[in-house]
Amino acid sequence: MYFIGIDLGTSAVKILLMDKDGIIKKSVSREYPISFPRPGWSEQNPEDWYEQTKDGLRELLSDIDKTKVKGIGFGGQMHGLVVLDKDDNVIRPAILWNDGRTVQETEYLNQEIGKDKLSDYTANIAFAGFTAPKILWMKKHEPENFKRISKIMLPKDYIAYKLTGIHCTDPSDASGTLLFDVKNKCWSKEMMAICGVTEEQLPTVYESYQVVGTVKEDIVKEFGLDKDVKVVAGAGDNAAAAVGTGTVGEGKCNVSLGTSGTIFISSKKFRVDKNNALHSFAHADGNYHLMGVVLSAASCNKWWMEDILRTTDFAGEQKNINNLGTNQVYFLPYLMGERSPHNDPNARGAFIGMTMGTSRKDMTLAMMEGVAFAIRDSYEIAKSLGIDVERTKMCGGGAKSPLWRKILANILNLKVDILAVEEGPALGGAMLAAVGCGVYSSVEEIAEKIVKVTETVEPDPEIVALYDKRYRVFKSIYPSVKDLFQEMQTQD
Amino acid sequence: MEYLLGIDIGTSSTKTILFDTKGNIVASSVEGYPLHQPHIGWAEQDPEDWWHATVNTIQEVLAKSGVNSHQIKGIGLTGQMHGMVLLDKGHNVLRPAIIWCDQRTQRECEEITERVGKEQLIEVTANPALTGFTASKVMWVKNNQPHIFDRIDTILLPKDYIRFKLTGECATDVSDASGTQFLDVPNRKWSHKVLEKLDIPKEWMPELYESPVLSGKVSHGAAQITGLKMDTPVVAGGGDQATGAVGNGVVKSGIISSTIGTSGVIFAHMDKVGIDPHGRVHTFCHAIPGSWHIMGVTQSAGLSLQWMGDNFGGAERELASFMNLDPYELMSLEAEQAEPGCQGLIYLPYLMGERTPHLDPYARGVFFGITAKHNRSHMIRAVMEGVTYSLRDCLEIIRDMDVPIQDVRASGVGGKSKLWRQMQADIFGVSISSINTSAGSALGAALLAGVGVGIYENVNEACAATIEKVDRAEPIEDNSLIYNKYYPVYRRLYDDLSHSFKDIGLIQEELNALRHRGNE
Repeated sequence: MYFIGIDLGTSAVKILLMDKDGIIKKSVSREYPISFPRPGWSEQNPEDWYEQTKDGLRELLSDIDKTKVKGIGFGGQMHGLVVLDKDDNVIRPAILWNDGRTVQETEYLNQEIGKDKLSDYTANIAFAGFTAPKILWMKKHEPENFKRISKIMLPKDYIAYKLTGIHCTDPSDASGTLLFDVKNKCWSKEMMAICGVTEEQLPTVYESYQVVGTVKEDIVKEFGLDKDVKVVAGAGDNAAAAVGTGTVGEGKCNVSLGTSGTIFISSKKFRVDKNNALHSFAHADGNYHLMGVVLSAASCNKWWMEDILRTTDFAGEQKNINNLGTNQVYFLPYLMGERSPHNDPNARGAFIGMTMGTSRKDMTLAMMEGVAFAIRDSYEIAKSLGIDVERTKMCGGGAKSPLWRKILANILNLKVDILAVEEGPALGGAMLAAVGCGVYSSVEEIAEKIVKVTETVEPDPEIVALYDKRYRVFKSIYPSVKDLFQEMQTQD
Repeated sequence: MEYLLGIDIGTSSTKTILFDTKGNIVASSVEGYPLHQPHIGWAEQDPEDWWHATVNTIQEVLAKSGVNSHQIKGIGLTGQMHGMVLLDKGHNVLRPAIIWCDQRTQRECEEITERVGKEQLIEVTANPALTGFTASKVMWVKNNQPHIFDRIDTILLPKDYIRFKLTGECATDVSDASGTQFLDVPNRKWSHKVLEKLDIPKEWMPELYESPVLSGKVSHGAAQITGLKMDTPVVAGGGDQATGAVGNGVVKSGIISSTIGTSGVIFAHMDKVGIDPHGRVHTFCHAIPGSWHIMGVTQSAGLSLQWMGDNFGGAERELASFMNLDPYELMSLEAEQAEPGCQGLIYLPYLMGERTPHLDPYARGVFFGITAKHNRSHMIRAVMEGVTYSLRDCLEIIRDMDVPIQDVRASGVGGKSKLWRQMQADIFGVSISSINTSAGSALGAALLAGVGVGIYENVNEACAATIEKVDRAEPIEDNSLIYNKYYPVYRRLYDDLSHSFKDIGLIQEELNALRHRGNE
């Protein structure tokens, strides 16, 4: 029995084939272009996604017993706006998550509608990347296109629609639209009214592991598949990746240090913090999750090593650093502004506290600690909402650094688990398909059976105590320089 | 031919230079020595290291120049200020010298302020109690090493120890003595009042002279070791700031010097004594009899760039040695690739705390305003800009004291680097000149010797005979505009972060205390 996971990423689609025991048999990927028609704009053509997905599937299925494929699931880039007319034609290129054209619309939502109301309706506040501001932008700037909208969907949902003919989405991805009432898992009437859309235009919401339909006949034929291949709704990339790392159920945690960093905490209860510092989203396991985003994580390391030190020997620079907890230098990792918890696009990075005795290693350590402190900022908020977390997983490029693992374990005071395989959202998508096909009774069950930890880093109580002190200093720095960030912005 | 010898006991090395009477360098020699940091914030040197370096460099200068030692008409001494050298009755050195950049004496500064009174301290010594100054170092020994304190017979400054070794005389000059906090600066004599309040016997103070006055003659023993002629006159000389100013021609009202050495100094001549009541800039006796100077100090100026080079400049060092260049020339080239203002990347140069204008030993270094667009060249340029902003802090205070600013002369690294000269012109908003000599302190010391032995009539004459302006950098308006926007941000950054500096410092002190207890 095989399951296919499709991760519709920003630069490429990754597709993998998993057997019922969670063994990954094969994986392929196909790239597609991204266009930046104006500075700050970022678009992709949904037809490219579909063409490349089909091309990838052909390769994936080329030398296996196709009849053993039982289900397909998704992970995908979130927030992107895909609009179809009544004849299912794509009206305009998809506006992606990293598109920045919606500054005014975002401000309108946060200031004029108000964060309190948004939080009331959706459990979140507006970000330029979210879908609702994109809809408002289209309404204002492309009224003709706007009038033609028959179906609104998210990127991965376009693939599901093409494969099954079902207009669907899932709660985790829907949470990133700002049209979705996360707590009650339904479309928000208020938000629909604000954006000028109707429920008919929006996709039907299925749980991520629920079957939405079967693959259409012509596609079955085209690929030589069994005629009853089930398609599940899938999940947004963060939630799908969390399934792949077993971050499901109550109080599970995963820290991913990729270009940006995330801390993802799953919760059986709906929770939201009063400042909306964390995203409060529905999860792919049928529950909820909180997520903090550090915009520059492993990218701080890459910047420091490549642009400042001008070295490629990252590991060499980190070797023999062993003064954890006693470094006197602090680093604010806000090289691209910051999301959680400050929501401050003007924030900038800083090294603070150097003396003549400060060495290159101290600076490197400070940089890595700064990222971990920023993750702790989000973790502290989650804790304050009453979530009990005992250990965390760690993945992404940053997890390859033994030093960063140790720093994170001690700064968060959590055991840090490193996973045997790190396959990202595609694996989560396949796992959701396996649950949908009834091989496992729940997302929690499959995660428990197939996610394997290879190494655990334990915090050291002495170092933890030292870092607690230093964290208090770290926390006090941003508020004292916040106004300067703003001032510098107006000078540029 | 007649020659003059200038000996400069610096922090990283001793530089000995032989000049002719036109101020031309005939021969020079440098020898380095270590700086010991037994704890964070401590800085000590071995006076014997200075003496060995002095002997070796004199020998080398004599050998290189081929000048007969009887043609050397006079010797001027200069050197790092504030350092404390303690001698016992037999004139043996009692402990390593605690030098100017040592920061251990915060508590003693509080004690001095309490004993003397803050206002009186500034009125008499022209300065608040400062960790860098000699008095707090003596008080530290009193509080922490009483067995050594009890054996003190004489307190000397670094260059004065060399005088003692050369001539057998224990003496100092008014400019260097101004940095001890024992001197009555307006009246140019030891302050019995301050000494009494600190319970320090006035007998421990050496003989006090004006800078161009003869203080002794080379002894038989020293002549034998160094190759100098016995009885060569040695003038009192001056602290490196005062002699550096003489060597830059800062001997008249309106002329300001901006020197980027290890520390950075803005220095102005004053005909009448003037004192900043907040003690942010220092008023000292000048090396010219009857005049004073005012001085703002940024603690880590060239030191900042050196820190950057030592920690991050491996490739530049290698390439520079391959190309036979100064690594700082390469760093300067990198800095030129970044635009003025560094797109908002701002550096605070407080690697060793700060004197002017903050008087804050807890202050620390900062890189602020970093974005993903910034690269290595921005970091290097930001260091140079941050140091220059800090010098502007000094200049602003001096300007507020109604000292005329007509002609700013750049020297040190900041005078040598074209980029840094222009940056100073742009950030200060005044034209910057540089002069035909970079011998600085050593030249100033030699000129004082020339005055002392009658080659020149007075210090002004000596400068007129030897120093000319050679280069001028005018402010570029576009650049000044950018710097004028970032300077207020630079100013606020310290205010916003000062409590964090203190937090970091207190945590560090706590950890040190724990470690001490652990060791016991």
